[in-house]
Amino acid sequence: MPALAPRLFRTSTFRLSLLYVALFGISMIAVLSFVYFATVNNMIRITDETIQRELDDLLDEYKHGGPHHLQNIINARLKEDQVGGWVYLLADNAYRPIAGNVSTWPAEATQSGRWMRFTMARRQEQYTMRALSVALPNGELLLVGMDIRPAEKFRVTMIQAALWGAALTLALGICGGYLMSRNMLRRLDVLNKGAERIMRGNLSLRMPLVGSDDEFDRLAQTLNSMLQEIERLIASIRGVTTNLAHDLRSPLTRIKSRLELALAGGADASQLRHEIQYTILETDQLLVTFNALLSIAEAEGGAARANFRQLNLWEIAEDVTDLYRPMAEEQGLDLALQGEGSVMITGHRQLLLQALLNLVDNAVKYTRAGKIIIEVLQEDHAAVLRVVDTGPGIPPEDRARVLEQFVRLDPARTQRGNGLGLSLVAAIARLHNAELILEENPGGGLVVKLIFSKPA
Amino acid sequence: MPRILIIEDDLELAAALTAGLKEAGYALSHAADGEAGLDLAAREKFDALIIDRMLPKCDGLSVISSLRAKDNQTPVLILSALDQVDDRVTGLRAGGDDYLPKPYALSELLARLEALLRRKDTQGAQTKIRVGDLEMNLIARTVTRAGKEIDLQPREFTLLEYLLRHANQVVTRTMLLEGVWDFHFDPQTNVIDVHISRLRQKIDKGFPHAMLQTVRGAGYMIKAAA
Repeated sequence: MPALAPRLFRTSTFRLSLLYVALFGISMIAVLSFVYFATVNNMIRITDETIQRELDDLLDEYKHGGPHHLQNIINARLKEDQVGGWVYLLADNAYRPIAGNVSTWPAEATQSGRWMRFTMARRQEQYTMRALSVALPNGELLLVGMDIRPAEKFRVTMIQAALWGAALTLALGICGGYLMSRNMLRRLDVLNKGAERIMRGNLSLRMPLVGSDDEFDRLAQTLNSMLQEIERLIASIRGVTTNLAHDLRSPLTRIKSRLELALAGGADASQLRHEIQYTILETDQLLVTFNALLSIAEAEGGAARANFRQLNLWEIAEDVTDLYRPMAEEQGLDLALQGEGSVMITGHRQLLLQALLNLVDNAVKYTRAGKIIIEVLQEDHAAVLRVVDTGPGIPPEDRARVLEQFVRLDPARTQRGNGLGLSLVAAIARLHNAELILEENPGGGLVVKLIFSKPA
Repeated sequence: MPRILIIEDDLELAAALTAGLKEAGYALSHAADGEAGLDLAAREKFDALIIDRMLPKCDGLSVISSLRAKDNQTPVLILSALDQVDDRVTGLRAGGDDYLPKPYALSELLARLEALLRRKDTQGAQTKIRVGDLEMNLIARTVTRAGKEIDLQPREFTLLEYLLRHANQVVTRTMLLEGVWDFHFDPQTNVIDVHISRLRQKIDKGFPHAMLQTVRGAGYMIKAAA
């Protein structure tokens, strides 16, 4: 597998997983940011309220007991050993400390009534403090603060969690995308390799199936059905080519040997003339075969659909009946046209005439005695054209085969023909999306049905 | 001697065609590509043109369109290897007067050429066609021979009308299929022969001279007594 990695990154699966990771990451960051700001703000608010309350308490003590009382209260709080993270500082108007557990007035706390944040060293530790100071009525200054390191720690933890989460999501997303894409590529590679092997000429090979019935298996199954159809078509083309070569070889051999004989022998002018006439008849037959093949190719090509028109099937049947009735009568056959006088379809007039003509011609050719009926019917969702004869019919096992090219059931070839008539009818039927059905006439003989379904 | 111009790039075919037409009494000119053909057709006066559809430099249909655009109404017979119904339609639509798919029989080509050359005189709002003692009234749709009324089926009438309009010319089976039944393909059957023999029964039976004659290897001809 050369250079799998770069190919992996170009796969749509990988790109989709990246997109998914990005979307998931963005939403995660949004949620975490909201939680972060909500929590941190709340913590700051709670801290501030606590500090404010403590300061208000001390101010109350001051109001009731005066400056000295306040000093005592502060000292008492410090002694209680419950001071925890609290700092207190009472200073005179020149910022010289009077009481408290801070040795110097912090430089940041110059303005009364404002929140501040500062760091200070205490017990060999660096504290981060949040504090509020006020000026007392006697000019002294009071500062109350609290250690906010736990909150800070929480904040940092939150940020770290967010970063780790993001990193993990990204890593998992990329790994997952990589694995999924690799799996996908492997399955596709199997199909690609299979297709390449088939392209190299072995059309009987099939795509391997895993048996999981997932989308890849279904794709492989579809490809296999397609290959089946292609193989069938190629086989039928091969058959046609072989039959064509075979069908052309006999008349060409006959022409050649007769011409050679004519050239070698001491034939007189009238004999030569006879040979030439014979040769022309034979070549005419060859040209007829080629023209029939061309007509089939035209009907199969589908380009004739450009000339489809609204037609009355009855008129087509009328034209062909009119053309064939004298000939049928001549052979003692009764050719009748039955059905409904107006059955409209969309189609190619000349090709439909030719299809029906071929069917009627066959019927007239093979029916020794009896009746030939051309029937035009309007059924629920279809227009139906039927040709019914009382001839020998076609055995059920041969009914599909006679539609193939160059197939003639009459081994003695007593009737003229090239085995292309019904193939042309089949091709014209396909062009019109019509169904061609060969059935047995209950009274003996053949029924050929062309069913033109109305487009839904 | 009618003058015919053949525009055909297959030189061997053109030579065979020239020989065949000379034999039949035509004067021939030949051009091997579309441009030369168009040039010649515009410069000189011809009675009919035989134009191959696929030509070098300027294809057959363009040659016809150019001529028609210059109001040159010389009858044109299109030859084509594309033996398909729809090609015939496009050929005729481009201004061609008749269409003959290759490979064709020389007799077929001669018959169609003859029909093209005579077309001018037979067309027009005639009410009666008369050939020898056979008379067709196109208004009353009646036919009489030597004053005796002949009863015809509608299709027989159309068939006879076509033959009479091409009196003294060879009419081929495919011309009849096209002109009378509007079937533009060769069905490879002798179905026309039966129609002709029935018509012959009606118009010739009981008369000393048979007007409807079979031309061997070519088709049929209706002719007044010699």
